[in-house]
Amino acid sequence: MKDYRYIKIIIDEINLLAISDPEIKEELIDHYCSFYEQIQGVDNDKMDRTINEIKNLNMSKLYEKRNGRKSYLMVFSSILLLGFIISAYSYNQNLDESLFVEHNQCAMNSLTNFESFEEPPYGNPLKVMQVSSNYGNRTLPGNKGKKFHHGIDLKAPLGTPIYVVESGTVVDCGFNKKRGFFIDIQHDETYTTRYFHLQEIAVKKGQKVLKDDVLGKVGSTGLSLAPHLHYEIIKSGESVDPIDYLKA
Amino acid sequence: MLFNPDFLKGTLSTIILSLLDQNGRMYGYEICQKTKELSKNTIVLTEGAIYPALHKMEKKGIITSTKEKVNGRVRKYYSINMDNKSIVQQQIDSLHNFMNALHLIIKTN
Repeated sequence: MKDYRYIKIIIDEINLLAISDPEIKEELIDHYCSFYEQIQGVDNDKMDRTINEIKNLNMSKLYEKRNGRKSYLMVFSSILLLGFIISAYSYNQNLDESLFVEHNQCAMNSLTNFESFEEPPYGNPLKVMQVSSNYGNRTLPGNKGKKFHHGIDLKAPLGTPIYVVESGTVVDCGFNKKRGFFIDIQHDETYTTRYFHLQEIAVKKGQKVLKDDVLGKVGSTGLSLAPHLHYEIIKSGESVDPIDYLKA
Repeated sequence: MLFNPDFLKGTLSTIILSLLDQNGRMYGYEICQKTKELSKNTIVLTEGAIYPALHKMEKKGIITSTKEKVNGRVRKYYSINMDNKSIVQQQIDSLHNFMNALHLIIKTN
């Protein structure tokens, strides 16, 4: 009868780390179970060498600065040290407990700043960027009062290709009186980008697009006085200033 | 570690793709082990490096995954998305070209 107790121990240890994403939890459980299955049944010599190897590996980073912007990555702190604990359970219950305490603490500390995997749509939808109207409050011509502009207007000649700024899925596209030909791209749970007043659309609803794929061409359809791309970024349901997400 | 970890940053995703290209489908731990074995213990990938890279590539549609029940748990296998096979091949070839170029420049005494 196979002994599956190690699986329960691994699941308990990983639960200690309070990882919110069940997919990642599942993958890490498999990772450690595979590790355990590999070292099981080897002699003490190899066991000692394996433990030393684990002790020498470095902690993973929690986040990384990319293009001057903090980008939170899904990282796993040194839970490879779980392997250390699990090996000890199985082969040598006399290992120094203080080692476990120190390593567990390190793992816990780095995980308190845990952020979910999310890549903001950082990039330019046009090769040449010329902002003709900024995000935020703007006065309408003819003294018609103020209106909030939820995106930025990028002046460009008719027919200029528009590139998707980050990989995602086309959740909506079509025509309406205000937006003209428009495309909405959803990148992840948090971010959606929108492109209005297109001359033509080169994608279909439901289509998966990769970063830098051509979405369509700059036009002047809908409520538009001159050829331009109206570009919006929606974060958690609310518009944000796209200027913060453009490359210099 | 016998090399500057910065060298791994730009090449990790291509390393993964090359292994998937050679081996069909692989799971995370298997990719770590194969890399370690083939590189004679020079390149040791941790779960902190490999899973973020795999998830990012999956999100981009470069690789796809399937799940399977294994020994009391669920295992995720990754493989190259056949729709993007030519892009993947290009990436692998370009790293190969870069490596050849480096061989010509980098000499040790």
